[in-house]
Amino acid sequence: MYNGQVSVPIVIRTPMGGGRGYGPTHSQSIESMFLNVPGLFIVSPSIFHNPGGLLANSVTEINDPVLFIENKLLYPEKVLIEGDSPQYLQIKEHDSEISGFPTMELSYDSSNEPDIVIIAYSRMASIALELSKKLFYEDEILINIAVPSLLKPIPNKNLTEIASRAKGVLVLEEGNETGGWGSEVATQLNTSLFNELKIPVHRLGGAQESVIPCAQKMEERILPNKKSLLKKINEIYRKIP
Amino acid sequence: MIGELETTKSVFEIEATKSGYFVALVEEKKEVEVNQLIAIICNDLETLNKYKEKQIPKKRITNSTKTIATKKAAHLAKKHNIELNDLAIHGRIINTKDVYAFANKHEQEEKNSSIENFTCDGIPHPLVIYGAGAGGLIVKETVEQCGNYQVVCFLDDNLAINQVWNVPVFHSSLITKLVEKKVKHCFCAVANGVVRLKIAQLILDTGMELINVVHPHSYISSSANIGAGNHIKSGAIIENNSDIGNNCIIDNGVVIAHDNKIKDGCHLAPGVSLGSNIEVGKCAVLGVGVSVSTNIVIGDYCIISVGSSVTSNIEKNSLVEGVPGKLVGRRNIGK
Repeated sequence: MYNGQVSVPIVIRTPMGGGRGYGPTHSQSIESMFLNVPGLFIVSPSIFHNPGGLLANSVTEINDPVLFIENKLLYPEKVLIEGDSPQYLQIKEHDSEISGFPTMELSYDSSNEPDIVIIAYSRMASIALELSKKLFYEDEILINIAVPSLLKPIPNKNLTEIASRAKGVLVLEEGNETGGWGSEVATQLNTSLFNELKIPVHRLGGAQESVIPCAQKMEERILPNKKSLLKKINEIYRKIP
Repeated sequence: MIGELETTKSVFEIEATKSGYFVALVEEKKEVEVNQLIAIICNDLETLNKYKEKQIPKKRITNSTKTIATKKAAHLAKKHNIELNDLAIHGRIINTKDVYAFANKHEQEEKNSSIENFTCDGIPHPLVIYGAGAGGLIVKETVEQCGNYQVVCFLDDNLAINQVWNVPVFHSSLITKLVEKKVKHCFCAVANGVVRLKIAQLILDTGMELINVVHPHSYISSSANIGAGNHIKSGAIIENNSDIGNNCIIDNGVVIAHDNKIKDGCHLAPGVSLGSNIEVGKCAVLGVGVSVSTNIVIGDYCIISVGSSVTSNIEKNSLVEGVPGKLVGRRNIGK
């Protein structure tokens, strides 16, 4: 409005996400609704980042409005402290274009090129990692997880670098697929990696055009879970030439 | 009902999920940590007493030095009688590639020790053939028919082959050991022309000499020039003033008329017919039955498909098919 002459350095912290049976009004993933707002930054911590550090950087490093969204189910989870990560997990930190908001790359075998890269933020990254370990252990399907902390602007450089090594890419989000964060990431990657990707970037998100039910069993069917993620991974793996 | 959970908004009743003996692990009104275990339901009194007396330790996940492998890797190791601890891999999960690499290394060490006992003393003209596949065996037969050399061993990249037709096979990395054992002559019997040239250079770098293997039932004009490392097979005809480079395969029944030039690494498959004044580029492959008209230049790395006929010049890296031959694709090598 003022051609960049006035900045509004405000950080708005807000919870998001379902999984507790709180019903349609307390379970949404609202971040997608703000993707279209120019000048707004969206940050989302996970247990693989330093949430306190991200919040501090949001306050001190960005002079524009920041939406700091936190998944409710992560509140009781322990953050991974350096040297205390799950058994045999290799974590690599990629600096994003905006310093202080890294994208983490998780792998159970960083010396080999992954079959699939899953791009997921917040709680979805934890679910993806659990399945990644199971599939590597049982079938030697190597799935690396890219966990960005900055959702807007999308850290395209980091995600392109991580995804370029994989045969298949999946963007996983808790919100709806239509018009979601995943659709923007998939478009950007399909453009930047058009000649390298063996198959198009896939997405998995919450169920379309549905409110999130209160009953937990029904909520499980609407939101992405280990079962729906495994089904999607199998679908992608079968398509990889 | 075994308890109540009171929040700012509402009170939740906690129901027992099973029948059994209930024991609270914390005292009333004590502050607890998030995710801390506060009570259990056991099936029997013995477990109940065990938990009553001791405090459940906090779970702490740390990186362990214990050897852990994927299911496939564990199965493969068991099949090959390999102890996973022998791989000495810590800090990550062992996979099948690691087990194969260990098994290959083990085999290589065994092979390294077997060459120590190898000798070709008393053999006047020992020859080693690089490549223990079908091509190598044909070369061996031809050499035996000619009688100039005696094949004493093969070299191959495949560790799994130990012996072919009672002739030992050593890993290709042991080539320098053979030089120490006074083997001076070698033939490269690798099918792929580009790879064949690379390996031929490696052989020359060790100081060995590459020989030509010429079948007694082939015809080579006295005015033709043949380089080194070529395989001229039974029925091949090479007429006046034609030049054959190095490391070519001139297959059964190939007819090369006068004044032709075949560059290094080519393969002319059975039945190829060349008119005169033709130049065939480096590492080109002419398929079975290909015919080439006079005064033609075929570029480097071309592939001419089976049965095709070439009536005009072909650019390098081309794939040609048909009668008359048409461009159907391009190769990426040699750019």
